[in-house]
Amino acid sequence: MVAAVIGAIGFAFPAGYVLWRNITAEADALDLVFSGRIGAPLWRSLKLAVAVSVTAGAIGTGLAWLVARTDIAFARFWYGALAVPLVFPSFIGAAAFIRAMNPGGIANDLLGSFGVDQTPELRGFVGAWLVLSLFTYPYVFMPVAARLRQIPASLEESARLLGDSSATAFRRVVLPQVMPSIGAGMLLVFLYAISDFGAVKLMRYDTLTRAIETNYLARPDVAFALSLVLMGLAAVAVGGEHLFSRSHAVTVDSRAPRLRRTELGRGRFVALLAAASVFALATLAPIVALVDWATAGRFRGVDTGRPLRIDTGDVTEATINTVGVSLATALFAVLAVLPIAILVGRFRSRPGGIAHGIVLASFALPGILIALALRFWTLRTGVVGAWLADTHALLIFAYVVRFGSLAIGVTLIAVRSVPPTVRDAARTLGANRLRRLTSLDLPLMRGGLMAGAGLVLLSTMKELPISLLIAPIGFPTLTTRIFFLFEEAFVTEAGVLALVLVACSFALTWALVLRRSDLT
Amino acid sequence: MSAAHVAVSDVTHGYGAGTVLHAISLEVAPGESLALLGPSGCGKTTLLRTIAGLERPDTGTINIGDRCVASASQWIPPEKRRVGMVFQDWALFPHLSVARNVAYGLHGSKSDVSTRVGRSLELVELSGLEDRAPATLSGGQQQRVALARALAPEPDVLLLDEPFSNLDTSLRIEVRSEVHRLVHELGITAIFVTHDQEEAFLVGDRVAVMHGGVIAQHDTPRAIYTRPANRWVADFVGAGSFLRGTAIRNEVHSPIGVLPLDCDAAVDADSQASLTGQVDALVRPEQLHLVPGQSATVTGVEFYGHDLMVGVDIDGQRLTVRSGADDPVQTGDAVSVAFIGSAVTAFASEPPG
Repeated sequence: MVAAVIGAIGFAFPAGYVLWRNITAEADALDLVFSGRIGAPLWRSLKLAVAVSVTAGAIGTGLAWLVARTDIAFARFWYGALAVPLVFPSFIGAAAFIRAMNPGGIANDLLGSFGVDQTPELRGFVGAWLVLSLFTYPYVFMPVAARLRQIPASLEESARLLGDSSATAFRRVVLPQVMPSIGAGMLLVFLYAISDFGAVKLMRYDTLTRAIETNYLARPDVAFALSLVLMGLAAVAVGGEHLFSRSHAVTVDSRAPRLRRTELGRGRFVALLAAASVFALATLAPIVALVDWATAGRFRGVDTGRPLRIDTGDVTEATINTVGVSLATALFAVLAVLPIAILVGRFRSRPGGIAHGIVLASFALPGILIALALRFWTLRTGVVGAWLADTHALLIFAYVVRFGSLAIGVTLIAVRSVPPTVRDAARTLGANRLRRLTSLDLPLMRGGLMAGAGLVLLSTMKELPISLLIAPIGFPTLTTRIFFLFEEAFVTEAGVLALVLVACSFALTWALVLRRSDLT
Repeated sequence: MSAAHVAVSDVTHGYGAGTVLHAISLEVAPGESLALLGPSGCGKTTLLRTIAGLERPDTGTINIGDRCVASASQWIPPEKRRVGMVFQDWALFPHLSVARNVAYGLHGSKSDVSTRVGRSLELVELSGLEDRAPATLSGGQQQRVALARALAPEPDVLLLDEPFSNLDTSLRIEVRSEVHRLVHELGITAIFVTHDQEEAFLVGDRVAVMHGGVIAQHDTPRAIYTRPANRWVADFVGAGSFLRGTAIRNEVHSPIGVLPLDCDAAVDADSQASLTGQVDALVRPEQLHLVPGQSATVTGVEFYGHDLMVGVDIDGQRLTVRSGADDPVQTGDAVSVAFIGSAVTAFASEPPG
């Protein structure tokens, strides 16, 4: 109970601090909000987020339908392969595209060999929009494909028997059932787009997150006002999605339902081409670009004006730092949300419900905002702040607040997966509280808790803005190191580190997400 | 296996607003099996959980053997009560093998535990399945693992919460006679919860019929069937119809003739006053017989294979009559009804309206 309350306060802290700073700011926050200083980046953030979520929604839903509901070739392969872009942090994706198109980049060389001298420079809105859409569509694709595979043929067949045409049946019966999944997926994409920092920075597209970063040292009041606006944007998005999506009671039959697959006929080739080109752009292209960096100088004589050096010690250090701090974050995140999950799942307590809501809401909080709040809080809070500033504890706390919400869902499922009668049965067999915990609760919840920890681990490894702002000096992580190396054009080492990160991320994603999402 | 006496006295237990158990008192003799019978929500499961220690009574005392396990001043938690319990969903530990499920409540040396596990599994005829995971077993097998697990620590009393309700009909009949036999052979005190009257009669030496948080009648199955304590029990247990008539001395004068009143039932069970005047006599379908005549009309026929249940209307009153499966009776036929039973139970007629 106490643990749950402390946890909830922790999760609410950064948002509360941003609010408080705005209230106590000398400048009138509202004035700032309506001044051009904020209006322009807000408009850019909004434009980008809307464009990206619509694009990702269209790509994700279309591919999901092709894979789950048509006779497209290699459907099973696409089901897994099209989810892979999730493993790329958006800034690495952006970097890969920028680099590939630049003089000396692989795409530039390739096009050059066909006689195309002038490759378009991929910057600004178009670049950010393209990169974010390509790397976020799986947030729509995965839930929609999963949902489409759950709708039994009998539903459509009943509609047909009641007089609907095939298309009408799809619109009246199937579509309403996947709309909530599409909406939820697009919300994730929207939140991702407004909180993205790395990709927009590399693309030189000044959204709210970038404006916060450029202002936070010189004009903290502006940065906090920008943060408030960003928070408001996230809140509006979450609220809007909530308003429009009606949740359907989903009956999930444990047996795989019989599915209706549309026969594409001649369209089969077009469908295959569509799936393959998305796969090529969003998965193969960045991998090829990264391999190209990592091996640059070995296979091709590239001169980028920088020494091609690679320091194995640096690579190992950054890897160890990232893995260590991510593991710690995963552990603490699960420990932080477990008491809340127990309160909600086992005791249905009201304070537990409120704490649960706070943690869920923290999902919409962009990393840069958490970073900013904690950075200033430690600067302003005397001894405690000075003692915490630049510590691993603060970094881990920031990560936990950012990603704890990812763990609470599975943790709650894990808590609920222990049937109360099993616990009662153990009591009648003479097991005391400790024995029940160690012999029943923990073993039964282990899978769920591990999954929760794994999701946090995965996201923490890919995190950029918090790592940039909060990581102690002299504590490089994979993401910060890749980011700097890329900006400084040390592409070989950046490429190696990025491949290490993507490989770790792929292994984790596969183990946690893809393997479970009924590839069978 | 020991057999303990169980005594529940004056136990009251409430969930929030509504009281679920009202001053329940109940005794179960050592080695006896008692069925708690009642519709859902009558408090039977709550009573069972109170005896197990999974619920704590607000007032009253519970004794198991010579130990007081619950009273105003004393509380023994379930893990120290030496009660075995079989849950409705069996509550097998999904991550443990059959053998480790059964061994869960056992202590002692490894070889001792494995001997006792073997013996328990032998008892329920599951030897050889020690290493299987519960999920790979059939419903009937899971049920028997749950029973073996509850029996292995040699509890003083065995509690079973709707133990057969998750089984298919044919399997249910088989498993419940098996369990009945086992409980009797072991001579353990057992308390079953069930909403199925047939099951209660079959497995219970005695039956406690519960209704609205109180025990309406606690007696042998035969007594409950032939002499229900009140109109509600008469209605809930078994098929039957109420036939209006006039009680004169120890007989009821009714449209189907004079029915002898059961000696014990000559006193109104509800008010304890001597029965006179207008009464409703409880007549079971097997106490009636269709004979040729014109006094009644057939309103419906239900074919059960081994017999027929025939609905008839006699002077505006509806009766159910059992008949042979080969009786060619049809809806609309004119018939007469004869009483072939020995005696009936009657209740003072409810005031009209």
